[in-house]
Amino acid sequence: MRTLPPSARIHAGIVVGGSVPALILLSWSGVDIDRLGALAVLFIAFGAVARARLTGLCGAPDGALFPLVCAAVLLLPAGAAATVALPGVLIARADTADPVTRVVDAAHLVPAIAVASRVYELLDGTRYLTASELPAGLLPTAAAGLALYVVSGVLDTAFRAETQGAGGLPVLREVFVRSAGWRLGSVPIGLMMAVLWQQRLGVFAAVLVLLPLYVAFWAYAQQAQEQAAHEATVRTLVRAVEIKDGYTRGHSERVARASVLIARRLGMREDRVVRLRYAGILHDVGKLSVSTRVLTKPGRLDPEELREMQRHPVSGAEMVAGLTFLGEAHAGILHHHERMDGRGYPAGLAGAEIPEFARVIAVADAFDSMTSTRSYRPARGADAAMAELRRCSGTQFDPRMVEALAQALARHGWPEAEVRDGEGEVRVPAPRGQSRADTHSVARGRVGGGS
Amino acid sequence: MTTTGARAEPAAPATRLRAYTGTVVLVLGALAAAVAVAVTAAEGVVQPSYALVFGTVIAVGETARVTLPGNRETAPLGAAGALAYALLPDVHGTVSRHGVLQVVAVVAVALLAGTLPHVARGRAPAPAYVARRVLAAGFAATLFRPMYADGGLDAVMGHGWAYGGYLVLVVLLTSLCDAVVAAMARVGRAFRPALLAELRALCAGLGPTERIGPDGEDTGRACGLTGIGTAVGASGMLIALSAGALGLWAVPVFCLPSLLVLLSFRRYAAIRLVHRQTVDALSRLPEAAGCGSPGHAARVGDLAHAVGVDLGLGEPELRELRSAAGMHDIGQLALAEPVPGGTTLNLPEAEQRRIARLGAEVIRESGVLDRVAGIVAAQADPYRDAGGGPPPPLAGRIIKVVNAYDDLITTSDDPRSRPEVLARLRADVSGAYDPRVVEALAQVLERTG
Repeated sequence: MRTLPPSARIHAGIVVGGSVPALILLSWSGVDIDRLGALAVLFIAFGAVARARLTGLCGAPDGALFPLVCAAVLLLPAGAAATVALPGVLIARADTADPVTRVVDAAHLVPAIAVASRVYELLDGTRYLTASELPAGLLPTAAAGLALYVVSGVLDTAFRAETQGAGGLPVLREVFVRSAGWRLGSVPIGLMMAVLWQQRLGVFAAVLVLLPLYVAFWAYAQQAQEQAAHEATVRTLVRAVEIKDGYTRGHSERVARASVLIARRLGMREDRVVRLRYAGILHDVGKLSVSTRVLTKPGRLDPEELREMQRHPVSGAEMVAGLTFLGEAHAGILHHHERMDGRGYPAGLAGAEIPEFARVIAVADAFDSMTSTRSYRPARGADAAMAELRRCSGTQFDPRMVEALAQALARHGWPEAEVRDGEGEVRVPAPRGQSRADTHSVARGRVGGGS
Repeated sequence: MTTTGARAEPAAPATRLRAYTGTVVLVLGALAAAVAVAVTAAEGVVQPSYALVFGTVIAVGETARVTLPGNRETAPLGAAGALAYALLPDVHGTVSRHGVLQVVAVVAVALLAGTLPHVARGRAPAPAYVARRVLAAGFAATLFRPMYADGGLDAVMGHGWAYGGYLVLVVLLTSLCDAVVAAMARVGRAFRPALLAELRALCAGLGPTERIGPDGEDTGRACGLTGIGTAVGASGMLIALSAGALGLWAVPVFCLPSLLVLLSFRRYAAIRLVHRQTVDALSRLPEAAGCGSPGHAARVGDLAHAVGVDLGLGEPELRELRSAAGMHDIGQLALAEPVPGGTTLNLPEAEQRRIARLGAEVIRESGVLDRVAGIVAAQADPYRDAGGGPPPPLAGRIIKVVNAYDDLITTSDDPRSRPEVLARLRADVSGAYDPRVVEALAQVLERTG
C-alpha cells in the first residue's frame, strides 16, 4: 500500500470509521424484510457482473450499480439501503488496484444515501410508490437523486484531490461532468424499478430493467477492445511493410506524426486528422510490391527499375482499396509523390489538383527522409531539412504545408531521438551497410543523387 | 449429421434433405402470416389501440436493424416489441384479449412496414429473416396467449416469482425455437454445427476478436448473460409487464433500454467490419509482394473458418482462426528471396517453422493480437511431435491442413484431383496432419461441392 498524504488519511479514517456506526444508527424503522433480502441478493449478483465486464459508459464498475442504489433509497430506510448497497459496490470494485480508494469510495455512499434518504422523507416521498402516486413522487425522487449525485460527487472529488495533491477544480470537473449523464440518468431508471417493484413485479422488475442496460454497456466495452485490436492490425500492416524494407523502420509512424502536426496547424477537422494519420502510416505500403533487389539496390536506379519503384503509390492504393474507413486517405496514398509543378507521379497532377492529404504527406515524407540517416549520408538536422523544404516549396511542395510544418516544429519541436539510424536493431533482408537509392525526388535530385 | 459420420458415403440423404429446410422455413412463415392476416381481417382487430402501439414499436424497431458477427441480422427493438405484444397480460387493469393469430398478423404487417424503408434503399432483408421473426412471435404467442385467455395462468400471476419464472420459460423456449429455425434456414452448413453456432450467438452474442492483455488472458469470455438474446428477452418482458403495471404510456419509456442496446451493438458491428477489412488487406499483402498464389490467403481463411465451424469452435475462436489463417503467410515477407510459387509445403520443416515464427513476430509486435500470433507461430508444427510434446493448438492444426490442401490443389494441374489430394493428406505417415481436421475438411469440401 502506498503512503497517503495526511489529509487523505484523516478523510479515509473519518469516512470509513464513521460509516460502521452510521449503518447501525441510521433509520431502519419500517424495513420490509423481503425487500431487504431481495435487494441484498441483487446488489451482490449485479456487483459480480459489473466487476467482470462493465466499464466505460458508466465510469468505474460500481457506477453500473447506481440505478440500483437509487432504487434502494426509494424502497428502503436509510440504514437498510446503505447496508445492502455496500457489499455489491465493494465486489464491483474488487479489481481496482488500490484497496484504500476502493473502501473509501464505497464508504462515501453511506453519507450520500443518508442525505438522499433524508431529503426524500422531508419532501413526503413514500417507500410504497405506486403508479397512481407517480406524478406526486417525481419531485422527491428528483431531489433525492440530485442529493445522492452531489454528496457522493463532492466526497469523491475531495478524496481524489487529497490523494493526488492536484487542484480541486479539474478533479471536480472530471468527477462531476463525466459522471453526470449516467448518474443523473440512473434516477429515472431507479424510479421505474421502484414503481414496478411496488406495482406487481417485485425483484423481477429490477432484473428486467438492468439486464438490457448491462448488455448495452458490455457491448460498449467490447467496442473499445475491438477498436484497439483494429489499431493493432493496422500497425501489423505497417510492420509487414517494414519487415521487407527494414531501412525505413519507424519512418511510417514518423511521417504520420509529422502529418498530424501539419494538419493540426491547418485547423483540420478531427475526423480528417485521424484519416490523415492512417494515410501517413500506410503511404509506403505499396513498396511491398517492389522487388527486394530494386528496393535495396545501391546507387542510382536504371529507368526500368525506376519505373518499378514509381509504381509503389498505385499498388499501395490498390492494396488498401478495401479499407472503407480510410476514405480520403486513399487519395493521399495514391498521390503522395505528385509535385506542385506537375512533374511528379503517378498522375502528374499540379497545384490544387493534388489532393490535400497528398500534399501534406509529401512534405512530411520528405522531412522525415532528410532527418533520418541513410548510409550514404548522415542525417540532417531539422533546421537544415526545413531550409531544403523551403527551397523546394512552390515547385515540389505546397508552401502552405511547408509553413505549417515549420510553425508546428517551432512550437512542438521534433524529438532528436527520432533522428537516428534506423538500422542497428532491424532484421534487414539485404546485406547491411549497403547504400541504396532513395525514393524521394528531393533526396534523389539534390541530396542522395548528388553525393 | 455428424462431422465424421458420412466419411465413406458421399451425398448422404440427410445432405440432400438439408437443401430444402430453408424453403420449409420460408413456406411456414409465409403461410402463418397469410392465414393470420386473413383471419384477423375477417374477424376484425381486437383492442386496436394496443395493436397500433405495439405495431408501431415493431415497425420502428425494424427500420433500425443491426448485423452481428456471423452475418446475423437482428432488430433488438423490433424483436422485443413483438415479444412484448405476445406476452402482454393486461394494460393497467384492462385484460388484453388478442389471440395468437392477431399477434402473428400484427407482427407480420409491422415487419413489412418496417422493412419497406430498407427495400427502398436497396437493402432488403433476407426472406428467411422475416419468416423467422414471424414464426418466433407466433411460437411465443402460442405458449402464452391461450393459457392466459383460459385463466390457466391466474394461479401463477398472483405470485411474482412464479409468474416471472413462467415468462422466462416462455422466452427461453422461444429463443430455442428461433435458433432451430435459424439453423434450418442456413442451408450452407450442416445442421448440428449451424444449430450450435446459433445457440452460441444467442448466449454470447459477440466476443472480442482478441483478448487484450500481455499474456492474452481470458478477460472477455462471455458467460451467456451478455448476448443480444438476453437483452431482447428481458426488454420484451419488461415492456409487456410495465404496460400491464403502468398503462400504455410505459411502452415507449421502456423501449429506451432496447434502443441503447441497438446503438451500442451498431457501433460494435461497425468497428468489427472495419477490422475485418484491415485483416483482409493484411492477408493480401504476401500476394501483392509476389509470394503466394493469388487468392491463397482468402481461400485458406474461408476454408479454415468452415472447418472450424464443423469442429465446433466458438465464435471468438473462429474469429481468431480466420484472422490467423488470413495472415498465415506474413512471415514470407521477411524472406530476402520469395519462395518459388509461394508454396511453403516443399520447404524443409525447420524452414517452414522459421517462416511461421517470423510472421508471428510481426503480428505480436502490434501488441494485442497475441493469440492470433500464437496460432500463426504454431501453423507449421506437426500434429505429432517427434519429441512427444503436446500437439499444437487446434486452430494451428486446421491452418496446417487447409494450407497444405490449397497448396497441393493449386500446384496440381488437374482440377479434379481433389480425391488424390485428400488421400495424400490422409496417408501422411509422419503425423504432420491431424486426422480429425483432415476428415472435417473432406466433409466441408463435399458439402460445398
